[in-house]
Order: sequence, then C-alpha cells, then structure tokens
Amino acid sequence: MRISMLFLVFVLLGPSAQAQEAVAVLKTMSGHVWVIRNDARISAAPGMELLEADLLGTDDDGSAGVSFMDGSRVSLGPDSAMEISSFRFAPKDKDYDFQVYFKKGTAVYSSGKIGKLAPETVRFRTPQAVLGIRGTTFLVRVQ
Amino acid sequence: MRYIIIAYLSFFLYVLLGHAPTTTVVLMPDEDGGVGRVTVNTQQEEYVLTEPGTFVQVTERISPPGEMDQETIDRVFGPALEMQVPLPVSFHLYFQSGSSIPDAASSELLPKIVQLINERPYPQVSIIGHTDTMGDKDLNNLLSLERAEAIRNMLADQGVPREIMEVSAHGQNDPLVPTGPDVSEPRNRRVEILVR
Repeated sequence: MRISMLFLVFVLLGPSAQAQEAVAVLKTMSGHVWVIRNDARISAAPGMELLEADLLGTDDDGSAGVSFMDGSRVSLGPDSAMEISSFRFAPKDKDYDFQVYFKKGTAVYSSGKIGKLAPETVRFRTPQAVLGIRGTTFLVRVQ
Repeated sequence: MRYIIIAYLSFFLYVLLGHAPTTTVVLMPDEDGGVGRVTVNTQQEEYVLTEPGTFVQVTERISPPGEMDQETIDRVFGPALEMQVPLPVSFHLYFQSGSSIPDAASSELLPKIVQLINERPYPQVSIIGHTDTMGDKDLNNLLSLERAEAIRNMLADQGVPREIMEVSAHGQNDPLVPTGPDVSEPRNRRVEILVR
C-alpha cells in the first residue's frame, strides 16, 4: 500500500518536475556552494544543472562559475547569492529572456547569444539597480 | 515623525560608516577585445557605462563615474574572476549543395574540436544545422537536421559522449549571409558547433 502511494506521488509529481529544463550548468566551483530549489537547500557539485527559480549561493570560502544554455556566463565570488529569475533561449521561435536577481556579493557577467540577439531582454537586477547590456563583460558588487 | 528622523539618521550613519547598501558596477573589456555598454537604471535615473575600467556606485542615487585600477579589481573581484567559465567557442562546418557530408577542410577541423571539448570543465556541445535557400523549405528543414546529425555522429565516433551533445535544425531560417529565395550560398550550407 505504501509503495503504491509512493508510486502515485511519483506519477503526479514526476512529469511536472521533469518538464523543467536545465537553463544553466555549474561548471567550476571551489569551497562551499549551494542551491536553494523549491525551498530546499542542496549542496552543489560541479556539473550540476540549474533550473529557473534556483538561488545559487556561495559561503565565505566559496566561489562558482555558471554557463547558461546560450553561452552567457556568470561567476560568483565568496558570500554571494544570485537567483535565476527567468531564462528562455529559443532561437527557432525568436523567444529570449535573461533575468537574474543578484542579491549580494561579487559577480562577473559575460554576455552570450541572448546578449547579441536580444540584448534588451537582459536584466541583471540588484537591490539598488537594474543593469542592462550591449554585448558586455562587467563586474558587480552588492554590499 | 520620530520614525522618519530615526530612519533618516540611521541612513545617514549607514552612509557615514560606509555600510549603506550599495551596488558597484564596473565595465570590463570582452575577452574578444570588444567593449560593450552597461546601462545602470534606478527608478529615478539612468547612467550608461561605455569606457572599460569605469564604474559607478548606486545607493539611493547613482554616483559620478570613476575609474577602478587593476589592483582594486583584483582585490575585490579576484575570486569571481578566477571562477569565470571559459569563453564559448563556435565552429562552422560547410557542405556541398544538397549534401549532408561536410567538405574536406571542415572534416579536418573535427579532431581539434574534439580536443577543445575534452579540455573544458563539464562541456556541452550544441550542434545546429542550416541550409541555403535553394529548393523546398520543408526539405531544407530535413536537410539541416541530417547535417547536424551527421556531425553529431562524427563527433561521437571520435569519442564525444552523446549525452553532452544537443542537435537542432534551423533549415533556411537562420542564414549567415542573408539572401533572397532560391539562392545557392555556400556560406549558409553549414553546421555550427558551439562548445560551452
């Protein structure tokens, strides 16, 4: 009975959970790096796929580099946190969106294909400002 | 009223002590040598950074721009800069009209591409097929897919894991060189390999 209930849970949750596509991959990291997904804190490991709405963070000893599916890259220094607010890269439908919320710490942003094809959709938000780009590498600190 | 004063004072103290919540933005040159622009927007104002190495700070307002020296950049942003993922690299492989076999010069590139893939941390490879505008649109969709799949199979034969490769086909919709309909254009008969 318990097994069949579990099965039911998987059947109900499975498809919606799987329907979410990876939008980025954690490629490089050192120290403690974590992801908050669906209110749960997960320890991050290199190669981990990131989803929309994930909050990626580093501890005092941590740093991390992420590559998005369009080739955009963001790396975080120590004690930093960034939410992937929304990401769409569908050249076939000309549908693009890149929005992150950088809460604290230090970061390097380098634009990818979205920055070339639809720079107006790129919004790098912080508590104080919204940063937009035209084919750019920039550094940000929020303290 | 009292609350307003306290809020004002604490904000003043924050600023004095250097703890006012602040965003600092520094424009950097791109790795390919170009320099873009960053627009910095608050609800009230906007500033556009155009010179590499210049920065602004945003608290309530946007500060006048300044120049950040390399030593400060390294001290503040060193760990983040060290973790930056390598620049994605793209390659173009070219095809004869109607063919899904890459030309000789393109095939010779493959070992170099495989080596680059292997050097990357957790590499991902996008393989995107294209055609020129000769012939039927639907057939071109099919041909662009065949081209992309042919390249995927060649890369797989040289040891690139299939699960890190993603194939897509854009048919004649995404030309490198825009042309009219029914134009044979060698530069548009291509597969793009994007290594991230």
